[in-house]
Amino acid sequence: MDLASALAATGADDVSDPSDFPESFGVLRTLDRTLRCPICKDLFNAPVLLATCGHSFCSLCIREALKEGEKKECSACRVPTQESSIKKNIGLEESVEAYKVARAIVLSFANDVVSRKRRREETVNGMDETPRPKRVKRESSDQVMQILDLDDERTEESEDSEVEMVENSKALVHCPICTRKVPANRINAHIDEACPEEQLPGDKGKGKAQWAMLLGGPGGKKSAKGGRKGSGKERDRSSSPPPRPLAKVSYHTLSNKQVKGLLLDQGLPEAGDRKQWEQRHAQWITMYNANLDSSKPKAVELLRRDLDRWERLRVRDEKEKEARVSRVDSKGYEKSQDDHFAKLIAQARASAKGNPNVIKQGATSDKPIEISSDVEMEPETTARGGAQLIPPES
Amino acid sequence: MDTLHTNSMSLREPALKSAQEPSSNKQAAGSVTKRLGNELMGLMMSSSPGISAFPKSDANLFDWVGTIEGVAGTVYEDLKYKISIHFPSNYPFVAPVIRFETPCYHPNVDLHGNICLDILKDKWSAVYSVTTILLSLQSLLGEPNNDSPLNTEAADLWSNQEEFKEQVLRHYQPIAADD
Repeated sequence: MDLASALAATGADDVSDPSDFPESFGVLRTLDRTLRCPICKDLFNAPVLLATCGHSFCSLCIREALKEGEKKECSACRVPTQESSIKKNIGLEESVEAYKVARAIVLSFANDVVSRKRRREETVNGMDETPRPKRVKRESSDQVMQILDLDDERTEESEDSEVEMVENSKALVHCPICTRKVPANRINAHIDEACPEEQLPGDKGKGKAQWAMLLGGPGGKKSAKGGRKGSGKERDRSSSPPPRPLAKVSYHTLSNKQVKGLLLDQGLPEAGDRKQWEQRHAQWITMYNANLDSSKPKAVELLRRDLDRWERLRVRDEKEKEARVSRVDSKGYEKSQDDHFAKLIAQARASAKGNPNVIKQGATSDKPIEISSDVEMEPETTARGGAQLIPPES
Repeated sequence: MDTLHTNSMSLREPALKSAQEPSSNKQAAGSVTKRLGNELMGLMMSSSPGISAFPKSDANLFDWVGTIEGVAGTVYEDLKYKISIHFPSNYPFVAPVIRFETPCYHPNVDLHGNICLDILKDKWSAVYSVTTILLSLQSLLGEPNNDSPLNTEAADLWSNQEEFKEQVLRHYQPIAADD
């Protein structure tokens, strides 16, 4: 099994890593690493800062770490901390959002430089070069140039080539929020506009719609906001006030009915037993509050689906754990070690016959000491200890 | 918890190429599998000498097999140990379960392969990874903590390196070729 199939099999084939960048671009690897959460190793998602030490994590990552960990401390430096020290890191979030878009471009650029260099070396070495791959490579570098051009000058002409480019390279990326496919060069605007429907590449009138969104989108939003007084937060266009974080609950003071009520309040399922209710509600609070640290929070429905997935994984894990425990049960071990035990018992009996003092003197006689030193050397103590006890009884 | 981390866009080149294909399984990948995928990639790309790890089967990313080679200059030099790694569903917030599969005569390893290492117990931190664990185990081989032994005899014998090495070799079994 190779790396790709291992990743593909688990559906984790879209992982990115600093090592995506060619080795000769070490600075880009470093840059990539600094924009990743040290816990999930992914690019920061809703990054937060611990006011107690200054380390940054994804909001959900550090919240989970504080919840699951035995001690409330920074995962990176072990400085004691608590959830109230979690602060939004808006600057970092903006950097990461911008970097996500830039990464694709820089990556293909870097790869292109490397492959050009390699080709040049191959030609120097007198290797026969087929023209075909060369053309392909050149095309891909042209695409990069196009992408870069597009960011600078958005003319009618470049719009045509944009459609072409998108069709050729299929440069579509998944929006991290609505998970719809969006052209790579649209992704920033798409996110800024709270995920509008995107015209698929190749659609007639796509350019116009895009321009309308680019120009009209923010303006329309502004005027809509002007109607509401005061609220400076850019959440969605609903008129409700910005949601507040949920408070933690100490469940042991509550009755079953009250815990159920908590679940109902949040629109969560009430399946399972009391332990599951509490775990579900506690996890919901963590996920909900982490979501609020994002400048573009997910819809609550999506969050509920995440919670459901989390719970299913938990259940699967518990089942596996049970299976594991039953796999190493003592009966199975006893059976598999049957002849070993039998041998030991026979040995012990023989030695007990040879030296009747064993029963009375126990540890002080020669033979048991021999055995016990053997035990010390190979501390399968429980099994062997059990076998040793038999001769005095029989 | 699941998809919050799957959010990073699939902007890598291979992903760009397949961007038009349906991506249902990507949605199904949880943050745990995502992180494990990340770790796997990091392990493969960074060539740390003497350590390696890979999932047991492509059906399950939660059970890995790893190898650790003894560092030159220690009694474990040239010996290759197989270890098993099991990741809980709340990894990396909880440490993975690690055991020596190759019998290892060592003060902090019992005869079932259980390991006594603080970073796998109370000193675990979510920022640690398979790579950090394997490197820690590699250095633990050469520098045992004799104050909290699991194998007291080995701890007592440590001061006599020649005899210790004899014991190490007596217990050692080379990894089978088909592993």
